[in-house]
Amino acid sequence: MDGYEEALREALRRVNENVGSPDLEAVGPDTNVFDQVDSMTIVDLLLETETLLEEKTGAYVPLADETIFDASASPLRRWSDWVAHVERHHER
Amino acid sequence: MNDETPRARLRFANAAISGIVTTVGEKTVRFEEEGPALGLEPGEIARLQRAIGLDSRQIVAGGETTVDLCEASARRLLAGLGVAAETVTGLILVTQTPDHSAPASAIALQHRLGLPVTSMAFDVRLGCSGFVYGLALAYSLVEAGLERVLVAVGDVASRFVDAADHAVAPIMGDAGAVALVERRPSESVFELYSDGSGGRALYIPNSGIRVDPADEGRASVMTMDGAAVFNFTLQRVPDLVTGIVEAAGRTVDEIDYFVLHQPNKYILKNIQKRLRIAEEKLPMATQSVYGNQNSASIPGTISGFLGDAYSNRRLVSAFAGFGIGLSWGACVVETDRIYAPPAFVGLE
Repeated sequence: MDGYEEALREALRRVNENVGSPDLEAVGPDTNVFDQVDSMTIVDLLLETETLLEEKTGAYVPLADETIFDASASPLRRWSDWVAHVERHHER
Repeated sequence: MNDETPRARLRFANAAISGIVTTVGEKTVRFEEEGPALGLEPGEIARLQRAIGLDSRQIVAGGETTVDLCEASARRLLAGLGVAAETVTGLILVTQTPDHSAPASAIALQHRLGLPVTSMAFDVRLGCSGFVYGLALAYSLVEAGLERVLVAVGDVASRFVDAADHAVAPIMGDAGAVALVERRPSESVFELYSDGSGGRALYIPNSGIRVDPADEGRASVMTMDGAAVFNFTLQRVPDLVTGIVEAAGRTVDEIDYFVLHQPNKYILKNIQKRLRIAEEKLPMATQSVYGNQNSASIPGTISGFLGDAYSNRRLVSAFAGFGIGLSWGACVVETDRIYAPPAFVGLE
């Protein structure tokens, strides 16, 4: 689906309304989301992202797996990895 | 896991649940009212409501203990089934909040219920995996020859949390549930797991006789590493559920209900979607109404939301409990029109 990244940026923008992190206002390929937020915010981001993508694609795809909260392997440590993670899950 | 690994898999042919009763704490606490008292902003309150499913919970109103809640459930259960306490010869109490460190609270409960002195009674110190573990023990005792065993599970968790900890305090509910297991032909299978390397993901420091310098000065309240617990759940629980269904020789479609421990709505929805379980087969609302009931969450979910189905139909169910320890376990059991009234609120 084209526009995955657009949806992910929108999800992060919405979540950041509660977090208020200036570093998350403009993400680049190497932005580390994981270190900027707490675990509850990550759950919120997962929910927001899953909901937005369900609206766009008509399919609910759970995005959380055992890597999400892994301190060294989480795809949220690098924005481009997060985009790839979401694309991979949606295209299974 | 590789099936050649030695494992705690138990199969039974002559034990079954006859009834389940749950008693929850009398006091209703609404998260919208509690959130500001915890110092939470409206946005954070909304976030927690959405991610966890926090709405309200039931806690004890005064000094009631787990034993009190379980006694109320046991009396209601025995009366509802027309079973005399004198005919019960096994009582297992699964709790992290006993009346005292010693003696075992199960023995106090044995006396209060009027079980004969020829009965056996003992405590099991487990949390969210506790109902499955307790049920496995009860099935073992019945399979080995006892006619009737009570499994009592629960915690007054509201009393072992830091009221100011907004990650833990607003999720805990108080409940005591009891199931009666009796001897009759019925097939079931259990698989039980443990991993002490994750012990610090959920624990109460300075709560036993070990003095750990790392815990010096820390309050004896439940602490939780949310990320570690979340990771553990997503790593272990999907395989736990698919594994037990396979061990039972069944498919997901042949299971009538998946009654899982209820930590939060997001995790349950994730598991439901990943395992392609029909939404109506995997209840997820217990946390939102009653709070996290620890070892009582599986019977609590049945009492809270599935009583009609369990009372009126023959069912094949998968139960799965997972959490503190780390400890996890699942079973597939058959029930046939058991005594399963709605949850009782309060002791009276």
